[in-house]
Amino acid sequence: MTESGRKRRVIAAYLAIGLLLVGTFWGLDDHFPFGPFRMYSTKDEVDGPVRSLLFEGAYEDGAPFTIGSSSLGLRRAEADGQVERVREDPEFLRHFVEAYEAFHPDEPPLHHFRLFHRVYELRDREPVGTEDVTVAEWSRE
Amino acid sequence: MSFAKRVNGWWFAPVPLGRLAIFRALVYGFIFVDVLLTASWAAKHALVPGELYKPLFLGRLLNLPTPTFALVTTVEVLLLIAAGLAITGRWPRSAGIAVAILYLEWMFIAMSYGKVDHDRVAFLVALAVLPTVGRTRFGDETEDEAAGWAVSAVQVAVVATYFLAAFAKFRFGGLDWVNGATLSRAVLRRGTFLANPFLLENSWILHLTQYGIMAFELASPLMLLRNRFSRWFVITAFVFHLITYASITIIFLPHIIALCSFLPLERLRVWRQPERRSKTAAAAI
Repeated sequence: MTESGRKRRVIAAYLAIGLLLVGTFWGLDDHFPFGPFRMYSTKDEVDGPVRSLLFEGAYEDGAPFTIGSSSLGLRRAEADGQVERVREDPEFLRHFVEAYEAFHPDEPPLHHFRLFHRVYELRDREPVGTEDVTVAEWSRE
Repeated sequence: MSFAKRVNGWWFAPVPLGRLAIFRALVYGFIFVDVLLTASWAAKHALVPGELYKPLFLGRLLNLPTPTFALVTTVEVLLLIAAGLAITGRWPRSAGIAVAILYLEWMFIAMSYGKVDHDRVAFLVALAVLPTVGRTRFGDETEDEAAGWAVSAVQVAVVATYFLAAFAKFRFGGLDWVNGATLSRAVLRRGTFLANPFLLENSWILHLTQYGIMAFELASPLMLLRNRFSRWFVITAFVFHLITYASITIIFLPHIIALCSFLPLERLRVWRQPERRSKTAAAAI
């Protein structure tokens, strides 16, 4: 290997390591691929709530049914990552309905759609109760 | 030997080109698994309304377009063609560079809808460094410094993923992350029959596991020692990922492919007799 080839490789390696270090301490997910390695990095209290995001839809005059995030073309964590937008603007929920309809073109249109959290109450790391809390609802006019 | 020289020697410690040939096949072959099977959710973004797109920093900086059906499908097809060409090993540089760029764009399509995955960095490093090594053949025992650097770079990226994850836990979860209920939450949300309810009813196991994870991550640089101890550490890493999969069905597959850079892959000779080219003959080429 030539001396300059060696030098370029050394510089590239330390540059990448430097960017990852900066990302770890000051970066956010937004700085992918140099953001912090946040997998399971948040701490959940041993006594407190754990939220699980769920969707529910209904046809005209139909009973509500559970919709999985994959029916919207999203992973569960992606839906979690969109919750803030829905909180800021409940109208935003209609894009979830559009997503559902894009993946189910042969189904009748949805008339009702609800985004809610199933909240598990933990006591000493063990679940002791659940409650459903609505984040936003949408109905066809 | 001075410390700097030893570090330099570590980075460029020659490895057989045959190992790199297998690693290449593994990395480029995995792209098909990733795009078509295990992360096929990324392709679903083709039909998701553009309003749900949340571009990342680099996506905004480079002004990457909002994914549409046409864009996602085009990138997918081109990526698979490039990966297919790269697997043949005939154009290690041009096909390798094409794969690296297309896969990066694929990542921006995948990660820009509200969730960024943290298991891709070592795999992305592998894609970036593989084109720096010339042509490789299965069974080639020629020891090569460029191949050595590529393997070292991937190994460092794997270790960085573990080691820096510990600091992310300190930063986001606090110094007492180990005493939280993070794993209880994970099992509650996505535990398999192996984990739920057994581990929730015996939550001390989860508590202890959090200490184990932290110790493992902080000690992970020892994987780079290249001795007997580090080999055991690598095996522990594989086992850790398998247990994680069994209990909460999360497996960091791209990361595991990168983890294979620690293995003496050249010993795999199942599909082909080793080519016994003499080292002088190889050097003459």
